[in-house]
Amino acid sequence: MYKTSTFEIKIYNRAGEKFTEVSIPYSEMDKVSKIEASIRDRNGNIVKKLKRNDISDRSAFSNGSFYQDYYLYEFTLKHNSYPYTLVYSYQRLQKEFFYLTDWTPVLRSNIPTRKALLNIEVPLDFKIHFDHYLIDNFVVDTLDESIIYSWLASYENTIDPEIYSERRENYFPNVAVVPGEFIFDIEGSYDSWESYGDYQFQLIQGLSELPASEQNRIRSLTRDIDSELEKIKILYHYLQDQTRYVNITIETGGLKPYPASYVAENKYGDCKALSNYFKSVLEYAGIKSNYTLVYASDDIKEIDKNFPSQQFNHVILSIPMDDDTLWLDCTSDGPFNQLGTFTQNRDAFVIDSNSSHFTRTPPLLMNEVIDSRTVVFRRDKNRRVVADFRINYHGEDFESLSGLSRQASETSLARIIRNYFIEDGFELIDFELIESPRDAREITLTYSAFANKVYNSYGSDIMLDMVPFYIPLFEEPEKRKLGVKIDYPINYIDTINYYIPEGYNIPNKLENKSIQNEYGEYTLRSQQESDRLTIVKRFLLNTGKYSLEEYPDFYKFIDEVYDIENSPAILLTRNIQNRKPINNAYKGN
Amino acid sequence: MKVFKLFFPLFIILHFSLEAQEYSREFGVIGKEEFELEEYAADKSAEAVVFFDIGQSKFIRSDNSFDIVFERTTRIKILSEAGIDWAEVEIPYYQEGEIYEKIYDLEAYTINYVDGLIQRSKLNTENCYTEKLNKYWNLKKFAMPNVKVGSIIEYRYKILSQYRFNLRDWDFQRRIPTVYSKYEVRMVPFYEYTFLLQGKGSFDYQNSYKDKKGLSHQFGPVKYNMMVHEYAMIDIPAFKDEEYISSINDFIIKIDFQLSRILHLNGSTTDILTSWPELIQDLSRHENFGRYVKKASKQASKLLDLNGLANESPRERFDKIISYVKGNYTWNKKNGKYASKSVSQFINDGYGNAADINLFTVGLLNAAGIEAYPLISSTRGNGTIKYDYPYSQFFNYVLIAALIDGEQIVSDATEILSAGNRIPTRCINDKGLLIDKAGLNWLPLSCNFNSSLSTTMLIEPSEDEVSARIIVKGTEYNALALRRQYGDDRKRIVEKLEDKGYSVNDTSIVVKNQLNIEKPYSIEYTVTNSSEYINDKIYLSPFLYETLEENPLKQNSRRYPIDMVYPSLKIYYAGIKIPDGYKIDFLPENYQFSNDKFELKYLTQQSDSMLSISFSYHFKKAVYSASDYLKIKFYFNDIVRKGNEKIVFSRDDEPSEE
Repeated sequence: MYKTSTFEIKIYNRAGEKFTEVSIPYSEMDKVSKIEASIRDRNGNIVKKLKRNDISDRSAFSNGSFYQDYYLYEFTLKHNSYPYTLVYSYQRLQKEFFYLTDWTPVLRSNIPTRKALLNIEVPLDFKIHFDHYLIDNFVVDTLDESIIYSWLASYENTIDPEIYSERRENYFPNVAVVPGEFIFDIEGSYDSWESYGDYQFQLIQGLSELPASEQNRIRSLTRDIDSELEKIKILYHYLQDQTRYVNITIETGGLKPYPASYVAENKYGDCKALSNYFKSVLEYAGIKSNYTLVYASDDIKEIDKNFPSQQFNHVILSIPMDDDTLWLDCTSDGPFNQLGTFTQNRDAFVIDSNSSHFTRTPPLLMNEVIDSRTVVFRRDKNRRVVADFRINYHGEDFESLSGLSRQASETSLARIIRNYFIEDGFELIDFELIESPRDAREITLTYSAFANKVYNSYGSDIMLDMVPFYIPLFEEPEKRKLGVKIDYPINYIDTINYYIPEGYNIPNKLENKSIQNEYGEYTLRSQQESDRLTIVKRFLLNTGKYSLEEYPDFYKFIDEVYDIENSPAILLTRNIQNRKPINNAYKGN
Repeated sequence: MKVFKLFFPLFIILHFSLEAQEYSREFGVIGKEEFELEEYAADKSAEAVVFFDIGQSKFIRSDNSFDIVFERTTRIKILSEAGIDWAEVEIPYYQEGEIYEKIYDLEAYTINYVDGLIQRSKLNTENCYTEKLNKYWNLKKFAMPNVKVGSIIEYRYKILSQYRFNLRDWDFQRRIPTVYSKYEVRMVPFYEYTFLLQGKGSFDYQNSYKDKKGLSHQFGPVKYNMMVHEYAMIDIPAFKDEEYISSINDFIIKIDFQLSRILHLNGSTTDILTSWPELIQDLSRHENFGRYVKKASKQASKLLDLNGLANESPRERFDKIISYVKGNYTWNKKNGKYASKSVSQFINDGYGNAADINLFTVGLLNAAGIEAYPLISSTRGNGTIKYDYPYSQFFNYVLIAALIDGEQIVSDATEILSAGNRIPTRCINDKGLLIDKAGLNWLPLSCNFNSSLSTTMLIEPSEDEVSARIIVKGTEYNALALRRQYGDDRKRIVEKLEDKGYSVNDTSIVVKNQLNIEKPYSIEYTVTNSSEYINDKIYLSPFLYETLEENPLKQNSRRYPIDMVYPSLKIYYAGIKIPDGYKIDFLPENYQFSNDKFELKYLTQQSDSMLSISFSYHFKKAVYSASDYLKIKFYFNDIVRKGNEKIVFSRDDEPSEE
């Protein structure tokens, strides 16, 4: 398949010059040629042309990959009189492909595309499937020997990123085209999800053989275990202890896993290789599991079910049990049967012989994301105010902290804790990260810190500051353009315990607060017991999607909570009865 | 910094005890101690430890010259999960023109001790990959098989190289501790090298001798024996990163080698840069340096109105040329001391690296009759200059040095937001060398003048809201920082101010001198925020969100200097209108502190209806030594404390006097 791409980018000022630095990716499987580029000045005259020598070439790896056979051609072509237009084109030859194109004619979300045209020419008997979205025009032209499909699109209303928003891609025009039948390592078909599932199923056949030593190991690990669940758990721990995730992508490496024997020998692999290996291990132990495709990311992307195609980027295993399904991410060092924020609550495509189907991964529930914190204020022997924090994390913070405690060196762990996990305004004295037992879904951080700004003296008053929750800062309703999408709940609980200095009291009791609505919940209660004041507060933000029309209501809730959390908490005044005798005593001298 | 010459035989043998910890140093031979080690006693936090790292560079005969074979053998034990990263190995090698480095004889094993049995897993070299970093450099990469906590990995390889100018350097130190590190260089008497040891005063073991055991060799008519130099260290601690240091290259323990002289068969010698004057000579004649400047000079008449310029003062000529270059040529963000392309190509492209732009500018200045020279330097990320060590490789940048009416001006035409007589912060580093054949001149590139930031606030607090007009003015590097932070893009300014916590009226924004870079930059804006009104009192932070809210120094102690780049003076003045019907209930205390390093002042003053507070602090130096760390941290605490203290207004219930 030949693909010719042509771009015209108009540069208005220096800030636009970054778009004159062009990168064209290629790999061993798709060769790029005929790279041409030129500059047209404001009058449309060609003033510069790219020379062959100006194109450089290097490897390109995505983050977290150890090796990929991806490369980049790079060049820069600029002019010094604005505005000017950079025009460039190149041709790509793909010998094996399972996508004709996945075309999104948007350079950057903040740069408009005036006009974009996609032409696809295929022989008369070549079947394609396509899916298009936000397209201005679409025509099919049947010629003597071929068919030309043409799409016209534009992107005029640019969009800036916003917090917790629906995916910006929803506002980009897109055309995805796949062949009805394809050869990518082996023959496959996109006629239906079932046929694509069968292709994936065939792709992993014959990769499950394990060396004898590995077989012995599996036998000895599971010998006296009766419970199937227990067996799976023991083997999963074995997988976690023995293997590691290393991403190596070569040629069809994009889809076909390395065989189980490769992982058994090297003890590493990418998600496909580790999943296939573990599937083979389970199979040897007499347990059936399913190779399962998902789109992993923090931000849930729904799969377009009307368009059977390769829309996934990650592989996990699902194991149907009697009344439940187990979910195992074989690249994870985390708890058994717990999918993290990257894979929870989304479509999963279960690969099975002749019966591949969609299901949904379990969502993270409120109690699985709870961060609960206790803060106790005291005075040290030098009468400085010290706060002792104890924070029990679940969910996303648990994932990052437990990952760090395993993978980061002590120096970098300390640096990250110091810079990202210590409450603003507190000066760290020391900390400890307390790991939970294996498979627990929580981790606890304790630390002591000087609280330089919490007890503020104003003459005879002391104002105590709140220790606020981290409430995300949403755009004001007038400025918000995108709907809200919250993929898993936020659930915080605080218990803040203040000491009341001798001779002071609280003139006005703190008002209890309670807000409850469809978006979430906020409560605050306080209680005084002799010289201690305890505030217990809670913030819950539900999983949900809210349209722009609903946004002002949603914002009002967040804003209200933010205001309560960020105003000074409590006023302490000096107790008159206590003070007078002291003053009199001084006067008496 | 110590410099040693290698060509006279040094029979110095330093016999420190090299037996601190007796681990095997032989590939393939591993003792019980290695398997049993679970944590490294000298550094219990170490995620892995290097048992040994042994390198050798030796000359071998090629057709009619010499090649160099570099050999390395390394053994590492993984002590915790974080250490598993050390099982991914990368070997850089170089290929350009006649130099075609090749890695061969690579062997690697993972050794595990499982159930009382030693299990060796060999790296399958098919699982090695090559990453192309750029035109010249490649990386050979492999991930060791079967690695888990407790694994020992060992690997060895050789690199054949034709690159004699620069023998492979040796890093004795890594980010994990090393028990034993040794580098051996076997030399032929035709090349002389100097070496430089950084990060430590001396080796634990050093020996130089003539290898009489080995065969004597013959090259042309000359019979010779190899000269062997050995350098070793033991128990090298892990290098631990710290925040606010100039560059890891300045601190890590390593040894660098440089070719200093070639001895030819006919008895003659070629000195490879033995002195700074010679380096200056060489650069002056270099195609992509001195000659490039001359060629740029010749092009000047096509680009500039030289006759017109001739009527102007040198200062005006200088300014015009600098702004011409800044306005018409873009920096591609690459450093460099050599021009990367021809002058005509550069003019045509309109962009280039630091050398293209600054050497070109020097040429234009010369054409306009201004005495200007290139000034080679090292950027902050690149490390400091070794004055005793006259090699150009330590320099990675070139600046412009011009003499205007007797005043020496250093400039950088890559930085469009800096004044013509200023260099960007990335270039503030130690000294630069003037490339002027008339003599040896080092110009300081440290910054000892103040950059100031002054913020004036006129605040009207009330029970409902606080409104304020704020004027921020910056000079020098503080101006540069503001130009980058805010610039003159209204949308961006509003975003940045909202991020700070203000509610801002965007028609109130006035920016002055964004492009008038010789002048201080200023920005004015009006903000309104909700008031802190509690119990009939108004609480007000007099400096709103303008002062520092967090101490940037968070570590409890420190080993390396604190580099603040330039001395900085910050002044905050708040004029506050006392709200009608209110009186001052509480005022923060006045405070003053001053010594030779730092100064802080906090003063309040009150008139009828106005309260004024001035707060200023001054870091008097650009760089503070590590021993000052706790003081500096304490100063920052004071800044945060005083800058965030609140004023309290309470209702004035006394009948007014009128």
